Formats: sequence, C-alpha cells, structure tokens
Amino acid sequence: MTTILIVEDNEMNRDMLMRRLQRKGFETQIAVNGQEGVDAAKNDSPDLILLDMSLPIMDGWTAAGVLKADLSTRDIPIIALTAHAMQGDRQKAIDAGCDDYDTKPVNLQRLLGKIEALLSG
Amino acid sequence: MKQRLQYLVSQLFARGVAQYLAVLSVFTLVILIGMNAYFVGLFDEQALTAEGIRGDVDRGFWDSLWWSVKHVLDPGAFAEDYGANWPVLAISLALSVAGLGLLGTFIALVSSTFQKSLESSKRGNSVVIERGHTLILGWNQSVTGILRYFADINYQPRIVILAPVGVQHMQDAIESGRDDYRGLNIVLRSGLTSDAAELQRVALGDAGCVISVAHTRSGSDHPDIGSIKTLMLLDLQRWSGVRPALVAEVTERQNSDIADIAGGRQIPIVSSGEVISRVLVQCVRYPGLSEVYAALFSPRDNNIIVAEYPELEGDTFGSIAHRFATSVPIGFTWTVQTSQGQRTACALNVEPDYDMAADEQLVLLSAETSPSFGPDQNPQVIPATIRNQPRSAVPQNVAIIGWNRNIDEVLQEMNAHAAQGVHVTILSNVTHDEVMAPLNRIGHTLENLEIEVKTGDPVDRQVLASLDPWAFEGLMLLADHSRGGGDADASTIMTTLMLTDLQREMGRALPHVVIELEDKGNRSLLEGRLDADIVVTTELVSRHLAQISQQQVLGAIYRELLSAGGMEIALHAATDYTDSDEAVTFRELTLAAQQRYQVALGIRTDRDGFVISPNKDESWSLGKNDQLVVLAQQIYD
Repeated sequence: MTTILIVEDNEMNRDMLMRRLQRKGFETQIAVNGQEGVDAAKNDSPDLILLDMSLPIMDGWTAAGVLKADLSTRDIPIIALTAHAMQGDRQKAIDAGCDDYDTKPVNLQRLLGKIEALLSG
Repeated sequence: MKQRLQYLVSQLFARGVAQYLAVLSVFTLVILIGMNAYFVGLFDEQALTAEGIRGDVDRGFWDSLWWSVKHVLDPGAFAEDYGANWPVLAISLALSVAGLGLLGTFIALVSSTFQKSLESSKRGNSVVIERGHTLILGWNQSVTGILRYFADINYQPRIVILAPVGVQHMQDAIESGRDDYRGLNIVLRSGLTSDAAELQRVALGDAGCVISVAHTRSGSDHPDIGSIKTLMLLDLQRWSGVRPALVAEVTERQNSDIADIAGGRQIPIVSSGEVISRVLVQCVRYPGLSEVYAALFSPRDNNIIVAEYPELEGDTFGSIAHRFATSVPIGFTWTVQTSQGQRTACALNVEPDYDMAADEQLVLLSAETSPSFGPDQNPQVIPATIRNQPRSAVPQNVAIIGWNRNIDEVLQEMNAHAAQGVHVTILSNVTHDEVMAPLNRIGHTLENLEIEVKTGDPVDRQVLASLDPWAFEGLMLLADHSRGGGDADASTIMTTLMLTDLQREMGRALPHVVIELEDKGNRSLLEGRLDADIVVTTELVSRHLAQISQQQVLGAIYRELLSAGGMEIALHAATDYTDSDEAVTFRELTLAAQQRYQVALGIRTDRDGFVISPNKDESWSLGKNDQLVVLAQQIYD
C-alpha cells in the first residue's frame, strides 16, 4: 500500500487530509513540524510527502532542503502545500527541492492527480 | 500508648464530643448524689409525702430517681419543698443549683455547636452530597459569566463551586448579579482545587460536568500552575459512572501544551489569553466580526451544534448544505483512536464533493436545537464570475493602545497572520523592554512585525494626538493594566472618550477601533461612540468555557476558527460572489461560496446589519458595501 507522510501543524487540516487519503486507499503517517517530518521520512521512507510550508520548529522550505540533501530521502517526491497564494511561492518551493506545489484550500481531485503523476513517474 | 490516648482525647475535644460527655457525667453524678438522700434516711414520712415519694412506684430507686431528676431539671421544684426537714431542703437546694449550672452549660454547648455548624457552612467547609452536578473549580471573573450563561439556557443541574477564596467573597459577587442567575441552584465551597481531598469533598467522582477555571494571575512566573495541578488530579480521578464532560482554562498560550499533558490529553484546554488575543486580532482584520462572534457564543442566537444524520450518509457536503433551509452545515466530526484513547476529529469547510461517511456527524450553525432537512435541492449554477479568490485581510499598520499581560499573545497572533513587514505601534505606560520581556522569555521572534513602542499615558490628550491615530489602518484599545489597580476598563473608557473628542474636533473619521473591556457593564457606555468592535473578554471566555462544557467537540472547532493558518470566519465583499444587479437568494450565494471552497454563513448589509444563517430562499439585493460572512481557508498574499 502506498504510504504518504503528511507534515502539517494544523490539526484540522491534518485530520481532513489523512481521512480523505485513507478513504482513497492510501496509508498515512503524520508529523506536526518540519523536524518531525524529516525524522519520519528518514526512519520510515514513505512513498510521498505532503509538506506544509508554514511549520513550527523547522519550516517546510528548510525541511525540503534537508530531505533533498540526504541520500536516503532525496528520491521521495515532495508536494508543497501553502496557504500563501503569491506567484513566487511556487518557484520558492521548487527551488527548495519540492517536486510539485499546491495551494490551500486543498482540492482533493487536483491533489490526487499530482500524487498519481509523481508516484507513476 | 500514652500518645495514642492523648491523640484520641484531643480528637474528642476537637470534635466537641468530650464536652457533651462531661456534662452528661456530671449530670448523672448529681442525680445519683441526690438519690442518696433517700437511701441514707434523710426523708421522714412527712417529707416523703411532701416530696412526692409516696411509694406509687417502688418507694425505692425509681421514686428517688424521679425526685432527684425533678430537682436537677426544674429549679422551681425547690418551691414544693416547703415544710420538708432541713437536710432535704439542703440537698434539694444543692440539686437545684447544680441543675442550673448544668442546664446552662448544656444550652451553651448546644448553642456553640450550632454556631460552629453555621460558621462552617459559611466558610464552605462541609461535604457536598450530589450526583450529576456541575462542578466549577476555581474562581475568576469568568465564573459569573459562566453562571449567567447557564441561567440563560435554563440550566437545571445543581452547580457546585469549589474555589480557594472565601464563600462570602463568592456570595457577594453572585448576590450583586442575583437577577442574572435566577433559577440556578448554586452551592459554594471554599477549598484548594489542587487538593485531592477537597475535590472528593465536592463529590468530584459523581459530577456530570467539570469546568476548571484559571486562577487569577498573581505575577508568579507560573501563573497556571494551580490549574495544571487540578488537571493532574482530574486525570487521576476514577469516575464512578460515565466520565463527565470536562473543560479547563489556562491563562497563557504557552501553558496549553503542558496543561494538555497534565489532563492526559483527554480534557479540552482553553487558553484564555489565546482566545482573547485571537478574537481581538480577528476583529482588527475584519471590522464588525465581533457581532458574528457574539452571535456564535450567545446562548440565545445561532450556535454551533453537532448532530447525527444517518439518512445523509453518502451525500456530498455541497448537496447537504442546500438541504437545510434555515441552518448552515459547516463540517463533519468523527472519532479517532489515539494512543491516549479516543479523540474527536473535526473538519470544517470541507470540499463540496466530499461525501459523508457512516461514522461522521454533521456540524451545523443553527438557531434550532434539532435542525431538520428537506429534499435534495439540486441548485442551478448561477452565472457568477470568480474574479479572484478573496484573500484574508491583513492590515499593514496597526496601533495598540494600552498594555496588559496578553499583549505578547496579541503580537504573536498578528505575527502569525502577517506575511511580512506589518508595522505595529504600541502606546502605553510601559517601556519597550517591558513589552518585549514575555516574548524574550519564551524565545519568540516576531519576524513578520516591525514593532515601535511609544511610552506615554494613553489618557493624556497630547500623547494620544501625537500618536496620530489617523495614520493607522486599525486601532486596538487593550484593557489597560499598566497603571495597576483593579479597574482595567478605566483607561479604556477615558481613551475612548479622548479619541471620540479628537475625531469630533478634527472632523475626520478615525480608523476602525477594537476595544477590549473586562466588565460587560461598561459596554453600553462606549457603544456608538466610534466605529468600533467592542469585545468583552471576560464574557467571551466564560461563554467559550460554558459552551465547551456542554459540547466538548466545540473546543476543537473554536480553536480552529480562531487560529492562524486554518479556517476562519471572514467578511468579503458581496460583489465578489455575484455579478448580478438583481436580487439573489442566499441559496445562490451559498453555491457561489462553494465554488470558491467556502461556506456562506450569513450576510451583512447596511440596512439589516448581520443576518446569520438566513433562509436559503430569501432574496437579497446586495450593494457594493454589503458583505458575505463566510467560513474560509485563510489565504494570504
């Protein structure tokens, strides 16, 4: 079963994403800050990471950089999630090492399309 | 052995039992001595007849006992001894005098015991024997607000308050608002809420609902330690029946996590500082929002309710929204298993195509207690153009006038909503270092704020004018504790009057003002003076606690509604949702909001003010100043 690591500090967003992905047949793991996300990725090697960018302790951009710099996690696809709608944010996330980018509110069909594309690629 | 005997004797005296035993012993002794008058032959035949010992019973023990008891209990019996011989007269006189002393002592003892019992009752030291009662642990300004809320909803269970203050103090506070608490059955007890024995004294194990309020801040480095201790005891409690509904208040945001741990992560924690700061900041961001919060937290208005609708299983959130004509579905809840037990998860403003699962309950905003739904409406898509997704409001230049211990929480909250470079000017009696000290203590950097501190008295007209209040997008008047003393609203009232006069004098409207008050009685003094949101924070916190105590899932919902980075209640221009110059129904606006992944909660018009959860088929002619109240994901530029 495909495992997706959700790194999100907002409990409600986390619960909702987890529930919707589980109902679509994915296994989910959670982390509530960037550092936890990096640790979980290194320990459990998920198939894909959904990474909120505004995180406490270690923000998403830093976490993405750490994960892409580590040999054991660099191949795990990362989709950045952000509530900031500035054009520059997408490029900033890609520059940090994220493989794709999506804005909140999350449109699940759109997100599933990106997940499928990254997993099949 | 000797020590044990001494302890038992001291315990007897402490309980007042020994005094009664002593009186009884002396009483018995006196009677026995009196009886001996007969047995030693002091009575001759004439005396026996005169004294009533005529041999009706036994002319022995019982007759002499009767005679002796009569003289001890009734001093008037001595008068009947006229004509008796002198030894009988002497003994009966001695018995009567002893009797007077003994009866006097006995009456004094009874009176003293009764007095002690009354005093104990006044001190609130006695045991509570209740079941299913609501227990309020602690005492602060929120307690009277909680009682007022319960009175408004005709709350029936008995309310027991245990607090580390005198019963008289609580009684006085309650008496002063007697009319507001009509119908409530309140029991007051004085004692430490962090003492396990005291909690058992108020029948914690049998309570139906427990609300732990924060202890008033004392300037301690750990102002919430009392509440945390109480939470630890609540976590250890073994409940006799169903676990009661629990909610606990702490004053500071950074203590929420430790309080959550102390309560075993099973008790909703409300950080009053966080709730207050979030509502104040939200009102700066969306002028007028205080009215929506007032309606949300009011016991009589639209409330958030959670209900099961198994018939709607499989329906999409979008279609469910249209089936409720006079209520607004806003999300779902479900139960999640965690390592600590069960937790209620909640999702608000879910996508319109999300289909309701069997284990989910519907969250609605409704004025009804059991909203009913109609047939599927299958609404038509209206020709609305989505120009831009409405953005979350972030004023770029804000002045905070006044100071209290929540200011660090207010700044943190503003920082969380700001993308970057928001300018905040603080005018108060305290210095820059004093403002920043709490933030430095917790190591918080306000990377998105540029803070300027101006030290001066906000009630000084010149100081206030030199601030140039017109230069800001928003003003926030905090309940000012910088002067010390008990009336934090005094400065706020004076500053508001000063601002009102400045506005009149300059003939220029001031920017929107958010006013924090602690005493709801002061609200009417300030209403209508400025373009202002008035937030009575003590009322806000107490209603928050009372509502969560009745429906625990509200804890998670309110936390989400008020926090940065998640869902929020926002006010957006109605013209963002409809191109039509014609009247539109609220159903059409609901659909337009759904197209933007939002939930339409109500409308604000110049003519009608706020109308929350209007009938879906009601038509509205909306102008450029009118707004839609929506539940939306926070999106920042």
